[in-house]
Amino acid sequence: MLKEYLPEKINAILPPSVLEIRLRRRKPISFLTKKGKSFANHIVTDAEFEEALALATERSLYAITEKLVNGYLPLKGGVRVGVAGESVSDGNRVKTVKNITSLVYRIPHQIFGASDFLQIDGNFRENVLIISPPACGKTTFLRDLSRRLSIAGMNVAVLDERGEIGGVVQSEVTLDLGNNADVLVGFPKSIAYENALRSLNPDYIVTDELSGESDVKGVLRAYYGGVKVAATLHGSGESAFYGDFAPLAKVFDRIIVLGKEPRVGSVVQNIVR
Amino acid sequence: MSALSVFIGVCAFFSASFVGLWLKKRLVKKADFYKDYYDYLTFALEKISYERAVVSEINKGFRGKSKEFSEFLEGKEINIAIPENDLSEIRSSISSIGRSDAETQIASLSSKCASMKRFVENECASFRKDAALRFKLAVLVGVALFIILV
Repeated sequence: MLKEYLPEKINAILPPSVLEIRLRRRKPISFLTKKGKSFANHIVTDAEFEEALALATERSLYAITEKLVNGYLPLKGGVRVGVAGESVSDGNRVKTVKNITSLVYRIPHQIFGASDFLQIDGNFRENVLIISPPACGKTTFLRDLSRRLSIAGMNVAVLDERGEIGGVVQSEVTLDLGNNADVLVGFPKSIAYENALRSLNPDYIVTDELSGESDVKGVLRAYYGGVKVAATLHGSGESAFYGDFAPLAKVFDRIIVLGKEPRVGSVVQNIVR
Repeated sequence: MSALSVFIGVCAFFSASFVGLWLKKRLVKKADFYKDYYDYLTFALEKISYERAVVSEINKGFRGKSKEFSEFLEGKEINIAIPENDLSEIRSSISSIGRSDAETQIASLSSKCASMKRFVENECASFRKDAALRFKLAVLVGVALFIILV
């Protein structure tokens, strides 16, 4: 799936089982695999970078401007491309991003059984929060958790704002979320919670990367509405409940902290509250 | 009235009619091409405004009347009676789709659609009228030649 978004020369040097690719203008390509980070002996030319950008935007900048402003481009199959460049602002509003200098491709993968230790069955009723610094496997863990909840027979509403959890491609959920998952792709969180609560009758709401006021409000709305929540949050432990996130401290029954040692996705803490 | 002169007269008639038909088709193709270009812009505007559809989806979904326009859209060389300046302007207009944010893209397509609408309504209608006239004229010339020769 990823190959159709990369220039031929770059495809030719992709290592197997790559987890992340970083293309930086006129710099060597860097890869992240299970073995760790490495640099290829290939400098990304301006032409290659432009081609990669055109492929990632499907030569349709207008279709992804809103996402670009939020710093990423969603590709088919749940691949997400982080974008670094220069903002074009109109007052307080970022209109678009120009002079793009870096593209970071994050390739989703599935680790079946990552959440098995939670022993999820039809009676599981915990609000679960997964916390970790970036690139420690939060989304992978959340995906497996969603699948387990779905297999256990619960209606799972997946708020997949960035299209990473389900990897939806033209109306098909390409990553395994079981048979009881309803995936809302690309909805802003403020709308997604309302839509899910009002029209999907969920037992669980699953959402990735809690990041602002709309998430806090949405999670609280679900919590007080009797719907369970499984979510992820950037942080390194319970200290993540600061500032805007303080009201969420009471919501979660279980906090799972992930880390990179001894390997990416290792459960560092499993706090039952 | 010899058989030979009748034969030459019939040949002259058909040749003139054939030239008329060729001229007619040429103008109709030209009108169809411009009309398809306008329809394409309208289709793209609609797909972008409501669905934010990507360029490949727009091109795939567009159903035009002109075979030449479809080939042009695929980047193929075409043989049509349209000035090279116009063709390169249309080419650059189509290839500019997808290079700006949604707001700018919609505004630019709307303005192109408005100017093309006027062109299609006035010029293309006159191309079609001319096409019919030329064909009729050629047939008349053919009849006249037949009469003179026979």
